Amino acid sequence: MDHEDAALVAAFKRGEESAFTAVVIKHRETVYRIARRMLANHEDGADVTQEVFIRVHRALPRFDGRAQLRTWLYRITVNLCLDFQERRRRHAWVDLDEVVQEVPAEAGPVAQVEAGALRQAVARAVESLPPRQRAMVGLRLYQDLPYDEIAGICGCSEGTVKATMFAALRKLRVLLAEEWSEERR
Amino acid sequence: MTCRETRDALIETVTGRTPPDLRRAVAAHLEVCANCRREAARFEETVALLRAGPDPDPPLGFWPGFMVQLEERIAREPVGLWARLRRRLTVPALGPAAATAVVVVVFVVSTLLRPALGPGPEAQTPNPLAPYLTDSMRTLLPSLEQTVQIWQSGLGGTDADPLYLIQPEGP
Repeated sequence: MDHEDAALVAAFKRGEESAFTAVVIKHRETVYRIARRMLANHEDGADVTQEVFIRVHRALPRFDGRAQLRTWLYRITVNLCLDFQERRRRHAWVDLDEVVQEVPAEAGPVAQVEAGALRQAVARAVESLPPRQRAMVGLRLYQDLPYDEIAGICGCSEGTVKATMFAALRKLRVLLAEEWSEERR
Repeated sequence: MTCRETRDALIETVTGRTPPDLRRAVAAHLEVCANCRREAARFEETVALLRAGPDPDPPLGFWPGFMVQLEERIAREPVGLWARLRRRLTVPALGPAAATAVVVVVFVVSTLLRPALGPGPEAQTPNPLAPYLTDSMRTLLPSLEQTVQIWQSGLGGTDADPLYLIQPEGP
């Protein structure tokens, strides 16, 4: 386990509540980004992030340190996102206004419109993936995690992750080509 | 490397984590296979598009409110008996206070018990040098006496006269 994480976990187990705060501050942004990418809007991403750390606070005294703390955290995040989507029984709601707002204002108006359109196309394409595929794509492409760690997080083999990624990228390629050509029309 | 093996490896190559030998093997195959080259180019383009945007960040000022809300929710969490006991025993802020309390108790007890024990044997045999000793000498003397005794029991004890002797009380 990462030395800093190991020290924080040990301190928390000794009863130092401030160690938990340090864990939250260290990992909250990545947890939020994973959740936000899986759930596609800020509100749901923020709710799940909050829930992740509540679960972590409950379970951290029993964390045995065999896995990386971050792997464990991301597994909780992915599982909660999958549960969240399952409970709602609907596709993730993509807030396209949020997506467009993320375009930096420094870019010129034409570049802003183009970048906004591209991001909407990417967001719609990613949203159309099944939740587990979306999780794997996010962990690989955006968090840059190795395949074996993604397999640990998703509870499957490394081969399954690679095969899923292959299928997901092919699907995204087709969807992006369609979306992008529609945007340009 | 076959086309199938190359396409299996492409997923690692285009997403960034490939051992150098595998990367070289893929590159060698792509040089001679137009189909795989086209597939690789499409994958690379897709990954580049997907990675083009910035990481989604929450609105400005989100995290302080998040932390407050999290603390409130954790405070409302039901806490088990063992966890409560463990926290009470190990609250770090109480550590220095507990240490100070122990020192104070030891000091008070030792102060209260000292008169009850009565005067020590050294008090019963007054030192003839007493009128000549300054306060700073007095504070040094016990350790000086101890040092001399240690020296006498070692090298100095065999063939040398003691450097310092407390005079016995005269008649």
